[in-house]
Amino acid sequence: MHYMKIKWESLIGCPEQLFYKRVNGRDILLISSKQHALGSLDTANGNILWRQIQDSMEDSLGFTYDNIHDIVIVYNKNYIRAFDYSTGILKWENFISLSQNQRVGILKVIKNVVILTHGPFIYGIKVTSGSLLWSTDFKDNSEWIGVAENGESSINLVGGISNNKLSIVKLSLENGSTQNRNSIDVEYNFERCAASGRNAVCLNSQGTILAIDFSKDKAVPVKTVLEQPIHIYASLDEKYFVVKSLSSLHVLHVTSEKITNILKVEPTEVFSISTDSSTKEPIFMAYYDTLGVIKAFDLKSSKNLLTSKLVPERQAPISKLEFLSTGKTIEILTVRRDCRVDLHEARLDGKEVSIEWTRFEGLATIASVEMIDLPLSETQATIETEFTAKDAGILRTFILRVTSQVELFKRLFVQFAHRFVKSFELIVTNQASFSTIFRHLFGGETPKSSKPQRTGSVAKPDTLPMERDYFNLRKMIVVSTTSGSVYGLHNEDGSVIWSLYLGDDFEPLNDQLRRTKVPLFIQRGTSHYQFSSEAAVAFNVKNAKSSRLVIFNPITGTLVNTYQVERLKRVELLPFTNDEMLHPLMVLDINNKIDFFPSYSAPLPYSTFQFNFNASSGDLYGERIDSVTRKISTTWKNQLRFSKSEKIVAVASKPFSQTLHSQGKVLGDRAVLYKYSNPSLVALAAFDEVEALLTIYLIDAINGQIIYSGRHPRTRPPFHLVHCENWLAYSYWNEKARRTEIGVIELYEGLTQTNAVHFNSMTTEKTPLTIYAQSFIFSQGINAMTATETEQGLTNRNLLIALPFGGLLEVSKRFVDARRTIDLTPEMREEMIIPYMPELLLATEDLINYNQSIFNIRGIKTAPSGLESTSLVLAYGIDLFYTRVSPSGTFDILKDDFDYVLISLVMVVLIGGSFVVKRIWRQNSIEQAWS
Amino acid sequence: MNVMNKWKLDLTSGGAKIATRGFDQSMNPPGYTPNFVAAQQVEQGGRNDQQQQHLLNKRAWDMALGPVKALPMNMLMMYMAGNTISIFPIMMVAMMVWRPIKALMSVNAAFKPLETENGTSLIVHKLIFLLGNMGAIALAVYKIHTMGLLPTHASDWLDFVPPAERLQYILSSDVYI
Repeated sequence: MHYMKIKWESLIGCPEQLFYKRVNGRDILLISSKQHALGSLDTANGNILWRQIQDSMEDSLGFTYDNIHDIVIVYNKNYIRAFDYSTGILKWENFISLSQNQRVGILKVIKNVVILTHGPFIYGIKVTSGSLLWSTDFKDNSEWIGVAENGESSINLVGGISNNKLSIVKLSLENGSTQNRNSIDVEYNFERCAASGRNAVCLNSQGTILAIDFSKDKAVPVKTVLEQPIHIYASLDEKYFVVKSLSSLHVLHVTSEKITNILKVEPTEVFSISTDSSTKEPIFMAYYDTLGVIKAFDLKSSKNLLTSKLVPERQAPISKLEFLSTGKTIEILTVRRDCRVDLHEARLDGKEVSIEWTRFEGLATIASVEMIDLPLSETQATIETEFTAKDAGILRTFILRVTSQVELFKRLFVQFAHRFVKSFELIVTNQASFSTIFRHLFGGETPKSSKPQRTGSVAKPDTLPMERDYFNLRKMIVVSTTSGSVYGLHNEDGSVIWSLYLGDDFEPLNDQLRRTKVPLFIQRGTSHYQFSSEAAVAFNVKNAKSSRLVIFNPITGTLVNTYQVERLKRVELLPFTNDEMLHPLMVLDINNKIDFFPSYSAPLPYSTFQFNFNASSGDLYGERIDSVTRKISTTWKNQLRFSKSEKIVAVASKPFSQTLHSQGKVLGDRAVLYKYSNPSLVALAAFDEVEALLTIYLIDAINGQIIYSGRHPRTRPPFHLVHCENWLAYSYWNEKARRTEIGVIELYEGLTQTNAVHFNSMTTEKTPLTIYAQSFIFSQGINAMTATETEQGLTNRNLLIALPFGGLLEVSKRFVDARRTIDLTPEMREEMIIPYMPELLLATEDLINYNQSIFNIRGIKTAPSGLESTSLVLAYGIDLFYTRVSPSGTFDILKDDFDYVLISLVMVVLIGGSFVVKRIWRQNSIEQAWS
Repeated sequence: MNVMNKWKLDLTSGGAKIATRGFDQSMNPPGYTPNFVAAQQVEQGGRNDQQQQHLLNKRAWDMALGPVKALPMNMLMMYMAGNTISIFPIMMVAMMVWRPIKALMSVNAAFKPLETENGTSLIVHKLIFLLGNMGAIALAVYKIHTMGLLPTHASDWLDFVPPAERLQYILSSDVYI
C-alpha cells in the first residue's frame, strides 16, 4: 500500500493556566490546557518545544515553574510530576491518594519543598526526588489560599476562612508539624480573599478591604474602604492586587503599613500585572472588548504607556492576557474565548501592535468535520457557462463558443504572463531551483516557500490556490468545535483559512448518549458554480431556551444567515434539494414542531421517516414526516424491554450519501451472494452496566423490524460502531478474557435477489437473510474507529483504528470478514477468503502515521477524493493528522516514484534507434545488391 | 562437397536440348526416339480429361472437408492446453477462434481457383466448408466456456448492475436533550 501526503500537527488544547515570564534571560511560556496537556512554546514562532499529556480527563491540571531547579511541577488527579523545563523530560512522579471531592489549592515550591494543598490537606514533597516528606490534615473544611516562607525552616499558610476567622498557621518545613496557629478575628463575613507572595487581601460586600502580611508571626492587618467591590484578584507581583467594583477597576498597592489605591480604570475582566524585565517597573495592562483596545499603565507613575487596537478585529473576545515587557517593546500574549492564542508585539515608541504568531488551539476540541470540494477554477467555470444556453440557435451557440474560446485564450495569456513575471522574480531572488521555476513556468505547482506552514496557523494569502485540482484531492476541511468557533482548514498544510466565531452565548448541544455535539451540515456543495456553497452549524444559546442555526459559506467563512429557533431536539439535513440545489435543514424542537430552513413546503419526493429512540427505556419509534402539514406521525413503536441498568450507548446509521458499488459478492463457483444493504438499517448497541451485557441490534428504521440481535456477556466500554454497506463492525472490552475484541456482522440476501432495482422496506425478502457474525481479538485498545470512503464505493473499505499508544492503523476489511471460517471449502479458497484466526494481527507497517504518534484521538473523518482509489483521512483529537489512503492500491494513477525520465529516455532512444537502424539497413541492402 | 556443388546433372531436359542442337542422330543410343514423350501424350489424351475432372473433384472435397477433419486434432490440442488461464492456452484458443473466422471470411477466394478450373459452382462444398469451420469455432467457444471466460453467470454482469434505488428515506441522527 502506498501512502502520500502526511500532515501532522500537535496542539496543546484550550489554555487554562498560562505562565509567561522572562527568567534568567529566557522567555518561558508554559500553557496547561483543558485537554490535560502541559506544553512549552517557543515564543519566537509559537512552535511547541515539548508537550506532556496527563492521564486524567476529569480533574483540573495545575502547574508551577520553579526557576531554581528549572523544573515544571504538574499536579493532575493523584499524581504529582516534575518535568525538566528545557527538555520536557519527566524527572520524577509521585502518587498521592486524595479524596475526590476536594480541589487543589496551592502548588508552590518553597526552598526545597513542594507545598501542595488539597482541601484541608497539606503535603510537603521533596523537590529533587518527589518523595513525600510530610503531610498534615487540619480536619476542618478550611481551604488554603496562600503560603509564604517564614524564616529558615518554617512556612506560614493562610486561609481556612470559617466562622469569620482567617487562620494563619505556621508549619515546620522539615516535618510539617504545626508550630503556631493564629486566627485573625474579622468582624464581618469575608467573602473573597486572595493571596500573592506574602500578602493576603480580603474584601467584603460592605466595601472594606483588609490586607495582611501573613509571613510574619504577629501580623497586623491594615484596612481601607472602596465602593462596591465585587471581586479581588491576586497578581504575580505580591505587592499589587486588583479589585473589581461595579463601576471601575482599582489597582491596590499593598505593604505591611498601608493599602494605597494607585490606579483606577474602566472595569474589564481581562487584565494583567507584570514587572518590566529591564526597568523593573510594574506595568498594568487591561483589555476592553467593546473597543478592541488594549491599555498599558506604568504603576509607579500611573502614566498611560500604550493605547492600541489589537488585530485582527471581529474575532472572539479575549479571555486571558499575559504580557512581557522588555523596556521598549511589550510582548502581549492573548487567549481568545475560542481558544485562539496570539502573541502580539507592541512597540512603546511607535504605539503599533502587530501579531507575531497565532495558534488555533480550539482545533483540539473538534466536534464535527466535513470536507468540501474547492470551487471550480475560473477556466472550468467558463467552460461550464458555455453549456448554460439551452435551446439556443446555431448562430448563438457558435458566438458563445467563439467568445468563450477567446476568453479562455485571453485568460491563458494573462496567466502565462503572470507566471513569467513570477518566475523572473524567483530567479532574481534565487528562491527555488531552476527546474522548479521551469516547471512553474509551464503550469506546474507554484514553488512553495522553504518554510512549511504550521497547522493551526493563519494561512498566508495567495500561497494556496483556492480552486479545484484535476484529481479533486485539494479540499476545504470545515470543522466545528465545542470551543465556539468554526474553522476552514486547507487540507494541503492544515493552515486556517478562515475562522467564524459563533458568539459569546454559544453552547454545544448534548445528545441522549451524553455526547457533546456541534452538528455541521453541508447544505450545498461547490458543484453548482452559479450558486455559492453553503453550510450550517447548530448550537444552543446559553442561558436561554433556544437554539441557533448559523448558515455560512464554507469556502470563505462569511456569515450568510442566522436563525433563532426554539431549543431543538433534532436537526437533520434533508436528502432532497430545493430549486436552488440547497438541502434544507429540518429542525424538530422540544414542542415537537418541525420547521425547514430554508422554508420547504412542497411534498417530499420520497416518503421520509425519522427514527427516534429513548436511550434509557429502550423504546423505539418510527415517525413519518409530512412537509406540507409540518406534522410527524408515529408509524411504528417497538420496545427493547430494557432492564433498569440497561441503556443504549451507541447508535450508527448510514449517511444517505453513502454509495455501494456492487450489489453482491462473487463466490468461488461464480454464483452471486447478494448483499443486504438496507439503507435504512440502524445499528444500536445497548449496554447493561450491572450485568455487563452488550446487545447489538440491527433495526430497519422504516418498519421497526429487528433484523438481527446478538449478545456479548461480560463486556465493558468503550464501544465503537462502524456501520456501512452490508456490515457492522463493533469493538468492546471482553472482561472475561481481558482484551479488546472486534465483532463483525455481515448481512446477505442469499443467492437470489428480491428486487435489484428498488430497495423497499415495506416488502419482505424472498428468502430469510443469511447473517454471518464473527469476533476477533484485537491486541490494542481502541480510541476511534471508522471505515474509508471513496467516490463510487468501488474500492474496498478498510477499517481505520486510532490506537491509544498513538498509532493510526489501517486494517483491511478482508481480515475483518465475518465469512472467515476455519475449514475453508475449495470455492472459498477460490474466492481468496483468509482462514479464520482469532487474532487480528497488528503489523507496524499498517500504521499509516508511521512514527508520528497522535494522541487522544476522538474521531476520524474520511472523505472521498476525485480519484476512486483514494480516500482522504483526518484524525482529530489533541493532535490533528491528515493523510490519503488507497485501500486497494493506487490503481488509477501512476505511482509517485514512477520514473518519467527513464521512460521518456527509453522512448527517445528507441525511436532514434529505429531510424538509425533503418538507414543502416537500406545502405547494407544497396551494397548487397551491387556485390 | 565443393566439387559436388560445381556441376549439375540434368537428366530430364538434357535429351531434348541435345536433340535440338541438331547433333548427329547416329550419336543416339539404339532405339532412342526424341519424340517419345509427346507421342505418349497424344495417345492417352481422351482418358486424361476424365482423370483431371476426378482429381479436381477430389481436391474440392478435400478442401471442403479439411476443417471437419481438423476437428479431432483441435479437440486433442484443446484438451492438452488445459483449463488454466495463462498466456499459452489463451493464445491457442484465440488462434482456434481466429483461424476459422479468417477461413470463413475468404470462402469464395479459397474456392475461386477450383471453381474456375471446374467451371461449375461448388455450393455444397462451400456449405460443408462453412459448417466445418463453424464447428471449429463452436469447439473454441466451448473451450472458452470451460475455461470460464464466457460471461454466462449473473456474477459476470454484477458490476454493471446499478445500485438499487431506495423508496423510503430515513433521518436518524442524534436526539438532543
